[in-house]
Amino acid sequence: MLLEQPFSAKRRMISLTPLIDVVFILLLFFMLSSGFTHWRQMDITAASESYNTDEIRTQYHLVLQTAGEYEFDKRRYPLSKLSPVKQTRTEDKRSVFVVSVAEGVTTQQLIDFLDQLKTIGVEKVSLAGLAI
Amino acid sequence: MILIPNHAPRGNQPDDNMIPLINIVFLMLIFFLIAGQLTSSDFIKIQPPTSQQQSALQEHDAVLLVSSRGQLAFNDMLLEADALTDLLKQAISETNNAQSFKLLIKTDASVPANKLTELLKRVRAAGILRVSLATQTQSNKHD
Repeated sequence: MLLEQPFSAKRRMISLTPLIDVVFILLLFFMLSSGFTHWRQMDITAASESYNTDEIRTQYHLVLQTAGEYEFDKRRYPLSKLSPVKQTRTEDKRSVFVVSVAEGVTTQQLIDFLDQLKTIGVEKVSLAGLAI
Repeated sequence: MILIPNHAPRGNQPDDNMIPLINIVFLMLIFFLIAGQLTSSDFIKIQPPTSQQQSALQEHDAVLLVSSRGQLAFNDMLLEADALTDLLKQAISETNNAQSFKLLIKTDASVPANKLTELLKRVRAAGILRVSLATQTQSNKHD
């Protein structure tokens, strides 16, 4: 049995050109408007909000220097050696570490230093009177 | 049962050469659809510092941008550092809730940290208690 398809002879293949046009426009739109930065945030709150000031006894000052060093208790240490800070934190868990920066230190270096402090377990950090 | 098409088998058409191109364009489109995020671009270009912090970015009442050249922009408006405290106080008064007012600071990684601490002092002077610093994950450093 032979069957003919019921389509008329006028039927033709759809041209791909309009499809490509639309896809190109979509591609351009998404290329130009998309961002790939995965934003995160580091919360900073006022010290009086986050710390019970009655509880805190000692403030230790850390000065972040350029050239990969920091100053703690009037002595300079390389950033790779945070053991004095860790020891102080272990001995006095109610202490607050007040971080200040020397001239020439960039925000990236400061953030890296704060990250390092968090890594060794220092939770009470103050920056410009704000707690981190 | 045999179906007989009512037209001759199609030979090579000009559009056939476009098919690999369409495939690639479709793949790129899918990539940008899935991997990209549709967000409004910042008023001034910022290369944020990288951090190990994992807190996802949350909604904020106001955004303060600090460019690598030291330009300040508050809610898409350029301003001088001296005017910041007043503008922040004004923004707080509009929300009527200083306790819950959240400020996001997007600062360029190369901005001197001294400038950032100075800004934080101004923010504190305005009475803002909740401040967040925008960072990016390590893997996005070169994006």
